[in-house]
Amino acid sequence: MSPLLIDRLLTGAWETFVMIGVSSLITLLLGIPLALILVATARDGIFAARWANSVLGSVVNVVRSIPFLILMVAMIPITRLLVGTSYGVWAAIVPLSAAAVPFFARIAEVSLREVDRGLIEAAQAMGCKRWHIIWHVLLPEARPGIVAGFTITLVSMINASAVAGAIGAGGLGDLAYRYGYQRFDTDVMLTVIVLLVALVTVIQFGGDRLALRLNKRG
Amino acid sequence: MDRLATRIEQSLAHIRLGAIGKTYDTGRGAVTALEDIDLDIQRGEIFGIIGRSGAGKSSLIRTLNRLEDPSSGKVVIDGRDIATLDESQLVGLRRRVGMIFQHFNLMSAKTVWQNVALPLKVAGTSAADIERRVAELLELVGLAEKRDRYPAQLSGGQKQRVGIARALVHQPEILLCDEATSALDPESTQAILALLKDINQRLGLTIVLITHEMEVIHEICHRVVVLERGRVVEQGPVWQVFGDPQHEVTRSLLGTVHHDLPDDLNGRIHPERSGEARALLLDLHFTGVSRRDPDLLSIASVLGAGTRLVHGGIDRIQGRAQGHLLVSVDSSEPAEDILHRARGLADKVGGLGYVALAH
Repeated sequence: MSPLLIDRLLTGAWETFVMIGVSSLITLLLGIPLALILVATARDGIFAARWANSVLGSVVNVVRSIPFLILMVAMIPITRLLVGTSYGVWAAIVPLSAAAVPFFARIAEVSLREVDRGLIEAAQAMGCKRWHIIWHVLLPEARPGIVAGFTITLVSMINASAVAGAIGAGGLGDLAYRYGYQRFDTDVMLTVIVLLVALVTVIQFGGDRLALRLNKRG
Repeated sequence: MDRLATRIEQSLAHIRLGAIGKTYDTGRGAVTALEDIDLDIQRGEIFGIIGRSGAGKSSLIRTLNRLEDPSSGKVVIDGRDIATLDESQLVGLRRRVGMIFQHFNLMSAKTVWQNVALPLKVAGTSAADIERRVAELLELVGLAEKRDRYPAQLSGGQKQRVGIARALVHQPEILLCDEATSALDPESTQAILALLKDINQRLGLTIVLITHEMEVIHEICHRVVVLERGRVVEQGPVWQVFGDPQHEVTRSLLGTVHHDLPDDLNGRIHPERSGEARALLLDLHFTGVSRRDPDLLSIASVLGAGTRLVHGGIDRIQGRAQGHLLVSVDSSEPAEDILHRARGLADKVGGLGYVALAH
């Protein structure tokens, strides 16, 4: 492998890291509140608001049903508006987050909804206000499930980032696509695959360990 | 003056339910869970609500801290209609009314200490006060050395102790117990009941508990109501309801405490005096109403030689002896005469039939 290629690989890895890092941060910051709103506004939720719940639920479902490649292309005007360009790492972060937020919100929603109703009742009975219930009961009790869900989200985001690479987002996906697919350079493609497998393995392992440590249910 | 005021306050019911009704709107029409329930619960008493599952016990106890709002009627605590409280007043009420649950409902992600501290934390209590108060309560329930464990590492009885500590952390005046011992083994049940009794006596707390187990009522309650299909079918002091149950539901719930006639005896009872079966089987029923203890000498002297104790037992509830003694009377007199003579021996006397004398 030439020094140039190694340089390209390092750049690609860095770009992937930035894409995933920033998108996952955005996903975490937007996805958890979204999941909380979905759970709290549900029919028997603590801020029951049926109408808001079904509108929000529909938006989430619509975004989730659009294939990532199409979402990315369709979002180009919005991406331009937000980051000023439709090309490169920063432009990829917009559709990556847009796809991951509803995905993650749904998974987190399930974990939050599975918190035993008895715990919410106990919290109410001890004089917790609704915000207390969210902060002291729902979030801590759902934490293992949310961590596991976030791990899944990260892995599928790596997947999507490779697709984003194909339309000029940079990163490892872009490298594999250009060298492997367009130039039949199997070495580069294999190296990228190894890197991606290693990345996914590390994330999955770390996520599993963390979820296990947070789970005190014995 | 102050003492007079206190006495007047104490003579008023601590909790008063007036014509409470509750209907649930299910998909297939309204279901009535509670109907026209009137109750007065006195300050400092342990008040039991018993009924079979589905009788409406859970709904009833949940109206006392507004985990459920009744569809009709009023809940008055300390003279205040709790339906009129706004959200922050309701939070205040709930801090004066502790609650424990059948399945404990402890936060699995929090340690014992954090669970007990939670009610104080959300009330904005200072860290030093939280530390002091939680330590006090863990001491009270005997779990001081488990403070850093998680609920999953505790036994059922220990979990309920954490629940009790958590419920008492705001020094409430009322403690609601929702089937608090139903998920526990007999030994833990006894320990938890003893703890509740102790708390009631030491802290003067009013305790309202619901259960389907008569033993629980027997063990610690002062007064009891029997609920069936959302209505009160019987109520009174525990000794009275146990000593002389009026309603069929009460009797069937008591069935687990008072045993019916053993099979061998049941099969040997004849309605008429005939052949071998010539001894009258008398049921001496002590209901507790006269506060008397069974007097063996007068039983023997009134009924005469050959009187035998066949079956039965005496239980003491709230200092009153009660139960049934079945005695066989070997006499050829007419049953009416024997019954007439035996009338003063117990609160209620009845003839059950004739049995052969045991050899």
